[in-house]
Amino acid sequence: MNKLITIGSVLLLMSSSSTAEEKPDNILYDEWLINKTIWPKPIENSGDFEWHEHRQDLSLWPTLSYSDKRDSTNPETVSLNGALNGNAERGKKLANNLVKGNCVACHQLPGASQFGNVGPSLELISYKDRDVNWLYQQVYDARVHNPESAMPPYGTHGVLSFQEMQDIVSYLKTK
Amino acid sequence: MLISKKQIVTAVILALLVLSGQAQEPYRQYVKHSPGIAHASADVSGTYKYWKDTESINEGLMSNEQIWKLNSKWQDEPFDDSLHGGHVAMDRGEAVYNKLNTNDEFANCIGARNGKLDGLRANYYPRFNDHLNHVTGLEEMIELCADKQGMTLLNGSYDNSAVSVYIGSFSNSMPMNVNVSEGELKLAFERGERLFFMRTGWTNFACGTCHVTFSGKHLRGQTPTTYYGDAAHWPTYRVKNELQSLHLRFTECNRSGGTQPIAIGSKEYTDLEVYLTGLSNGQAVRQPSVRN
Repeated sequence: MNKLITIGSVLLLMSSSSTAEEKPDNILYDEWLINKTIWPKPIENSGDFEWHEHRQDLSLWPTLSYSDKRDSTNPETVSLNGALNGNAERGKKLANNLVKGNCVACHQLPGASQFGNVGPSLELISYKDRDVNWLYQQVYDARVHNPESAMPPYGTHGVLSFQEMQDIVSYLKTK
Repeated sequence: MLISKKQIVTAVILALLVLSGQAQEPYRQYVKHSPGIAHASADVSGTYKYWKDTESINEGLMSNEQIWKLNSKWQDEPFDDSLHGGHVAMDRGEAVYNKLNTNDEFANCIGARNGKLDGLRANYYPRFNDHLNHVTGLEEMIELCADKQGMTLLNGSYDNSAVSVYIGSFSNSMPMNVNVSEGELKLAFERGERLFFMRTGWTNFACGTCHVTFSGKHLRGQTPTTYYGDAAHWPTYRVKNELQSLHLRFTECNRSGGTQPIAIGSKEYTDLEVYLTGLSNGQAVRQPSVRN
């Protein structure tokens, strides 16, 4: 019986440590909205704001808040088991989508205007004979190839699904 | 059903272990950087020579490819004396200030010296407030002091920033000179620097990812500029037709970079403000200002 009380008190304490996974207390957040994340827009000649819903829920990942106790992710190594099963057309759409892939913000892509150049140009990537697994890993988590890589870890952070990442790799292999 | 001493000791030890685990800092990744020197001339983008003062601003760089090198400084007063929204905000700020300061209480609360607002932007804020026991920015104090006069001017709101622009204009042409090398401001500067290079959000970007790694390169239609010298002209009127304080800008930066924004006036944003203010030391205050 005594043992049970001790175990019980320990479990109680352990459960209080689960706050480590909770969201920080000072984020701009509205749990009743679909996308949760909100942002303030100043109203001219007023001491108040107009609040807007952001285009995606950003509270799912670590923030700058000092009360954020969630760990950042470690790089995840992945491999395509079997053949690549992607749709290049869908991949192309994702690469140009502002919320999903948005590859074009940083990379030059065939036919894209207003592309970025912080990452290497991908215009001729399909002629470079890159290994499909290497490309998949690069999209999934580029930190495996280069720990200092600035590229978002689309797979590890759950931004793109396995299918979507395969679609993008298929697009990159299209000549 | 007595609990033995041994069991109590065990439970206490386990509780302490759990609590110490909670206090541990979470795992974070950082963008590589060298410690910042608290002066605008320490700029790491190589563009300081183009914007360090009015005489140096080279209008020959106003092409799409080169304009980022000017860090929007060509638009600062007195370079841009067109009637942009910064002037409108300053007029509004003056009107609101006069309404707040009918009995000089507001001026005293905000830190006016001998009733004068001179230097409040250049060498007074951000500042450790003994009474509040934390570092405050000018805009946080405007909210608190306005509240004492029965007026709600939320930190980051248009009227709060307008009053800040008006107060800032009394520091015009004075070089920024905020001592971040000792005491609480030094600690805030160091915390701010850690935050600036800390990777967060779905993108796993830090502020430094865009403003150091990507500075001068294209991100879609944008070219991120240096982060040195900016605090000398904020709050600013942005050409998207919005008056923005530094903290309000952070909420937009965070969203663009894929990171959850946090509260305006929070300790985190104030630490970032102290960091950016330190990196603006030596740069002349420009109010009102306009930038993209």
